[in-house]
Amino acid sequence: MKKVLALVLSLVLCLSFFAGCSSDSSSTAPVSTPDSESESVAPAEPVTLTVVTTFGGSDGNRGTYEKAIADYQAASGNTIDDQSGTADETFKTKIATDFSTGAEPDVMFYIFSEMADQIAAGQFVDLDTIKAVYPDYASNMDAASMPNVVSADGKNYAVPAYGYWEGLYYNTTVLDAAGVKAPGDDYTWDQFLADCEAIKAAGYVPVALSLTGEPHYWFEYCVMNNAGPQDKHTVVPAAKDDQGYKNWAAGVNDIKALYDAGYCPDNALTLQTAEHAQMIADGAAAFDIDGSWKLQWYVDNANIEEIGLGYPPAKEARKATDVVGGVSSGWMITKKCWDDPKKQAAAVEFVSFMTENDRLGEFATKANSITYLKDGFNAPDASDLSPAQIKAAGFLGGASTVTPATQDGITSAIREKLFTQDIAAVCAGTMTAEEAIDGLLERVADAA
Amino acid sequence: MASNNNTSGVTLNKKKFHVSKVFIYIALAFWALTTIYPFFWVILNSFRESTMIVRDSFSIPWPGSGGTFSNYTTAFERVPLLGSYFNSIMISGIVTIVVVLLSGFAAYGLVRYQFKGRGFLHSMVIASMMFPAFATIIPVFMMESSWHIVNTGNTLLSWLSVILPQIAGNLSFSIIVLMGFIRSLPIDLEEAAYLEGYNVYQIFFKIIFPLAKPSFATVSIFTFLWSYNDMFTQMFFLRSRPQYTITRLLSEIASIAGIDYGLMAAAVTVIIVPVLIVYIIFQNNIVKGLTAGAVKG
Amino acid sequence: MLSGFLKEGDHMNSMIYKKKSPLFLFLIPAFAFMTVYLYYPFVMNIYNSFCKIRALGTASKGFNDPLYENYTKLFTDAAMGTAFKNTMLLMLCTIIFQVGIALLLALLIDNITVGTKFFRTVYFFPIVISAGALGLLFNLLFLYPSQGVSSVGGGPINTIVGALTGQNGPAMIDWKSMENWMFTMFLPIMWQYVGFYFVIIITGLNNISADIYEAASIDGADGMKRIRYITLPLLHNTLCTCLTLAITGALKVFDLPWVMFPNGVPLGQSWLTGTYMYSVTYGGDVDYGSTIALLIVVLGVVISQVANIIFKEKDY
Repeated sequence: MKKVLALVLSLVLCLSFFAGCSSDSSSTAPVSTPDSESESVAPAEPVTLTVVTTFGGSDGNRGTYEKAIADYQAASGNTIDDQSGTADETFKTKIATDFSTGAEPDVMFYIFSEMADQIAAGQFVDLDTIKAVYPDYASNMDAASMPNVVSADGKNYAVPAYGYWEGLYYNTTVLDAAGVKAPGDDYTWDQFLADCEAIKAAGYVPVALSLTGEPHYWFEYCVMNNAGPQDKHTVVPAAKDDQGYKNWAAGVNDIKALYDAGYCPDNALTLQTAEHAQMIADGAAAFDIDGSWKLQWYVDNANIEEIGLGYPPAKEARKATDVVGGVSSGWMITKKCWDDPKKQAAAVEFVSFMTENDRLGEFATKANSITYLKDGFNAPDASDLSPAQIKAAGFLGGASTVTPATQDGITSAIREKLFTQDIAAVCAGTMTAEEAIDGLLERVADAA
Repeated sequence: MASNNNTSGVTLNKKKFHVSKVFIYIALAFWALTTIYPFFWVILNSFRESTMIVRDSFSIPWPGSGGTFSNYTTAFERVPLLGSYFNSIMISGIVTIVVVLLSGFAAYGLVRYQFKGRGFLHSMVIASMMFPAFATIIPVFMMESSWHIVNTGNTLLSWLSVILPQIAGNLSFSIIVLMGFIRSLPIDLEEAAYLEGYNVYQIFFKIIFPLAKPSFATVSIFTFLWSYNDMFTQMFFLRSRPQYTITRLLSEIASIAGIDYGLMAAAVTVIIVPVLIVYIIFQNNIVKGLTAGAVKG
Repeated sequence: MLSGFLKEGDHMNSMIYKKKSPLFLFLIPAFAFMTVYLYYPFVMNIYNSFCKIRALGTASKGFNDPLYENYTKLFTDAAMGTAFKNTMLLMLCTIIFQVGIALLLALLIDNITVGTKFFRTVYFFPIVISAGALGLLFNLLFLYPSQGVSSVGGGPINTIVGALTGQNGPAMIDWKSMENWMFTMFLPIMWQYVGFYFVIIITGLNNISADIYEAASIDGADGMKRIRYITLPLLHNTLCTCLTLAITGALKVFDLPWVMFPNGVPLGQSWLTGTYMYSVTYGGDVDYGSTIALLIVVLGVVISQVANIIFKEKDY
């Protein structure tokens, strides 16, 4: 019986092999109509482009992306070899190895701070060079507001798709039960502390903070509260007791203050990333600072009518409407692809296709964020959206300034220890904030 | 199985056996419960909506209170699903066969022969069991790159680029385990065969191999399992969809980094099924050895 | 008849194996593979431990200054000391519990006739399920109840403990706290790999032919006596293999502890050599990670060889 089973199984699998095999060949019509956005010479024969993006796994935009690729292949006759995936450690290592061995992909949509080394090594081509040959490249972007992906030479290397923002999520039911007013656009830190006290007295957890999971966003705002927005915020520690050092240490100490006051969950030291937002969704905790990407999670996992979105509390140096936001990923073309005459035009065409107004709008809507398009895009009907979603749509519009995250100024490998271990140690009292930043400086110096 | 039931016909012994047997069954059943439950839990939750899992993962997901097929439909959306199964089975199957053969040879040589450096080689084998994947992957990648078997569009070459490191990675474990088993085989049979004119190679294939069949089956199971689940190597060397194994295909949703738990449970279930089938088939071979009656005198 | 199987003594001088030439043919294929794919890369790894490498996959940025910097760090790094201590403890627990329970189960199964196949199949399950899924299961089992007025239940374990101790609602035990983390981390690891040793020991048991047992019972040895004087000695080699595997396994274990206790939480107490090495390598210090890898290899070889000398493997 078992032998028969094995035989049948093998037969089935053999047959599916042939099914799988045939999907290997690219069967696209050899019609190549150049996208209207780019003025390039139409590629004479179909080309295969290797594309790596972060739209893999359970990314909200995976479906949008895969449909877009299918549309592109049908319209242009080129084939896309899609090697996208979730950017976990193994994936990042694979990318780095590919760049070291000359096996890099042609086009990427990736986090540019992760590619700092490769950009510095000249493995990506900058926008000015592309525009010299294709003047219409990224012409639908509003150059003035488009954040620059700068490297040491001050050039821009990526076309952004959509931006992000970080805001204060809260559970309105919990606030009501504690008799606390919903945060307004002028929310101050003192009001916030008073609210936390009231919430704690009412028996709820004021701040759903996971000290070793994701304190990143609380950190950003605590730093900005001490530093001030824009240039003052983005300065990173470079030497002991310089301005960046002081800002970061002050930020960590503010988090410690929250912990010491008992506003964090009992198990904040071991609370996992996936669990902390659940506390808000469950109505056990009141406040959490998180990013635009989290809104969709709340839509799916919580009663979204109960969830509110506001501007995080501000101290003297900052207004509540000074927000952390910007862009962290973009479409980049590698130098290897650019230097290949057969692929150059196709790559430009592909990126332009992906960043067409309406298509970009789809991506941005799914990510609950904004684009940097000159003409904007047709936003979806706002009639049946929850309060949080409506607020999200106008979040960056209602901001007084938008500043990129200060932590992005240091590569993730170096700064991770601060967020996954040291902040918790400072809160527990086994380390001071200064010692934590000292450790960070050591690692930065080591990496130079 | 053991023939202890047919021995002495003393009633007292039989009664004693019955009572202790009940306890034995209770103990075994208790452990079985702990091993079955997680498996059952994973399958249960693969039918539950992801958003309900963190809140309530231990109840039965009736339709209406979170029961759904959507996790499976999302997982099956990933093509080519059946083709990936085939890739997985072929790659892991080839790795298993080669590992069994080569480690059998090596274990046999290390156990039966006396030579200088035997202890050193034994230590080297143990050492190689400890090498972490990421310590060796980069030089291996660069090496295979220079042989031009990585990043080609060719499926078979990509298979080769995965199979070779996986063989090496599983050899150490197999050699250690087989050494232990082969050492236990009484030498009488081999000496008897030798006297009948067999040479060493014939002894290996005609005596050792059949006698140690359960051991080879054990080693095969684990080699297959580990090659099948080896995400790291597969991630590096299998580049495009037609080449993917099922583990690679579903890796992102079954990974530690994911938080779509329903999808993860469905992916895990989909990945597990062939392995269990292989185990059940092989399991038949872990039966009593064939030495009964073969030893003279 | 019994004594024939239990003879000691070096039979290596057996005529069959005097001629050494076939030996090369037996050894070369396997060792060739291992040299190319394992030893050579690991030598590169050792070389890397003297260089400065920041991200895995990127090129080295020159040598460390001083060259042996990483090696001194091994001894001064507090987290490394914690990892070493925890791993040694884990190793001991692995030997006592994983191998111990597996041995017990195997011996029990040897005594029954009905249902052996069922149990053998079912005990294998935990090894097959991915660490991600198992980690999730255990995290949810031990989940801390959301505090506060609208307390959400938490995991079944807290619920059961709460019910057993007569509380109104779930017990508020933080299973990952500074006091409890070791139990919570070790328990799943112990449980997961029992099936692995179980399969190996069962195979070893099945290598003992039925004849020996028949002969033994005719001579009057049954039940416990049989186990003590026949089964265990004949299992000796298998158990030595299990010992080696347990030692190396404890040094390498990563997946399950990382899902439940990433980054050494709480407060760097729960590091194991496997998890610490991962954290260091992906934390921008690849060369130090390589050094830890080398330490793990050396520890593995030394400890298992010492164990093998103490529990000498016997040739038959």
